[in-house]
Amino acid sequence: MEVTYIMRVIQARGVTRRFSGIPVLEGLSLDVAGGDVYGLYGMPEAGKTILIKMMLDIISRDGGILKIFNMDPSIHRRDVLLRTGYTPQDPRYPDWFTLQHIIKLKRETYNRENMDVFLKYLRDFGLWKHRDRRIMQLNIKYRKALVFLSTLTHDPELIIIDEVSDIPGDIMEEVIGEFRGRKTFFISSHDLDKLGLYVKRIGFINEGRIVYEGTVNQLKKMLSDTVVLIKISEARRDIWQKINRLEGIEDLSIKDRILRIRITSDTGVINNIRQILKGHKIEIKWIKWMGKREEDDK
Amino acid sequence: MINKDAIFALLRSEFEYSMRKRRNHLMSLAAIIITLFFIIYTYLAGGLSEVFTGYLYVKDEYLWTILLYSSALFLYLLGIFIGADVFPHDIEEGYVDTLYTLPSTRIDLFIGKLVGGYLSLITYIMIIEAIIATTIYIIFQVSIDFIILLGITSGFALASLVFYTISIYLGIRMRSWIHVTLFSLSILLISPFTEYLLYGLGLSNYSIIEVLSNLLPHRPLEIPISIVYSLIEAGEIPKGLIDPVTGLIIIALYTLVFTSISASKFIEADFI
Repeated sequence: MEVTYIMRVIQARGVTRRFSGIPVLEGLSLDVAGGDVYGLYGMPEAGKTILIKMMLDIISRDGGILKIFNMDPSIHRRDVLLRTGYTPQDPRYPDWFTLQHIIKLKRETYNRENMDVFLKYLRDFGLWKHRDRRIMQLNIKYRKALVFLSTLTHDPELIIIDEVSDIPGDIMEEVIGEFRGRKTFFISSHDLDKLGLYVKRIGFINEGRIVYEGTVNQLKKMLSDTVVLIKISEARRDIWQKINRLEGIEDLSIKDRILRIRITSDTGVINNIRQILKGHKIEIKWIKWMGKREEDDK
Repeated sequence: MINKDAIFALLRSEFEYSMRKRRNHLMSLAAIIITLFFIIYTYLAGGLSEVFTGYLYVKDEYLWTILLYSSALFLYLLGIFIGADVFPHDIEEGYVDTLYTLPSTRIDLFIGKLVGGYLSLITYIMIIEAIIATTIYIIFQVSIDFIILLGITSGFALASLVFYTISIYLGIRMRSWIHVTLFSLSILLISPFTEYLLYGLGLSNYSIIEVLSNLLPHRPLEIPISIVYSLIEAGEIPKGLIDPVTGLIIIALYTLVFTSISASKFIEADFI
């Protein structure tokens, strides 16, 4: 009898982290199997980036177990990073860095390279012309696409993407299609619709823990007709009116700079709210999903 | 186990960053201009031997003193500026996500960045000293012996190491370039008290009056001077200066202490 063993690439059990006494991750647990394409959805400031940075040993944890390839990244940092390709939310390099510098840096540190796939994608997606341009002069879309594709040069087993919505969809679809089942993808986003294009299994992180795991459609159903609280830096009447005009929103109220909104359709409207607030230079302190209104009222 | 490939890659990146930094260019330029101003002023005032009548040193030796005193402060500032920038700029500019996620241990990361920044500091010092030495030769037709120039540069490089490592430590703790710079400057200003303490312990040959009358920022500059003089005078310790061996021990201790605590802080630090 043939026994198929699927290795757990990511394993988190009760991971906690506080910043200045404020909990950011509170007993977060999740499992991602080898070859899986896992999506991590959450409102901004829900703890997605913190979790990813813990997986890469940029941030330490206060408690719990976190294992990547069955290794603790805070102990086996190098071994974990050798097998991982990471695309940050906003990849930044020193001013003079071009794609050539990034590749050179990777070549020196990883000691292995698989340039064929990378060069093929650069040509296929018309990114080859940007190879000698300073990476920080490119807009976030191209910059992130180049950094994402450059992670393929060291042939990683685990590909982590923090905020997938900035990467052009055709590139994501092509890469995931090419490596589905052979590499593990861990993709985070606050845009459920975008995430839904690439993943089948999704985890919803809210207030520092995974509150749901399942399919994208089920999550969309769960998130409809729910209450969301948004803490903002400044409460202005004109903004309030603009938000109130958006479709898919009911029962908007504001108290102590906390917007309380009932979302009737899906959480895509949250992105519209973010855009409005960003346009008026109003900072979002946090966004909390409060569940069904009935539960909230109780 | 240390991974020399990762260390070298990070070292090169840090070195290049520091060598390209405009703030460091301006500080080096200031060191050169101030030194040249002193040299030209001395020349216009009637020549070296007349200006420095009453001093113990001969004409040529005094050139070094001008060179040292006038540019030294800027070189220490350069040490502080580069040291203060090594870690905070990665966090401030957002390079942590890209450079700190290369496959390396935290010790590799620390060593690469520490050495990279320090090599850039030495390079700046060598360039500055070379420009000054060339100008002295053009104006006065007096050349500084290569070995002595090397001694001066080594002295500065060693003494700058103290301020560099202090700034490195503060950079890991504070994460803000400007805060680190201000703290390091205050340390530079109060450092004569360290000499006073050493005198009390019998490690310095200063008298109290000399110490009190010299509570100025230029006092710690005499540590590298003592090293240079020890090279020149073959072991004869000049009066009024810290024993060169003690100077070296102080530098070594400062460097060791601050590098060790910096490394221990870096290993457990959150890079956000």
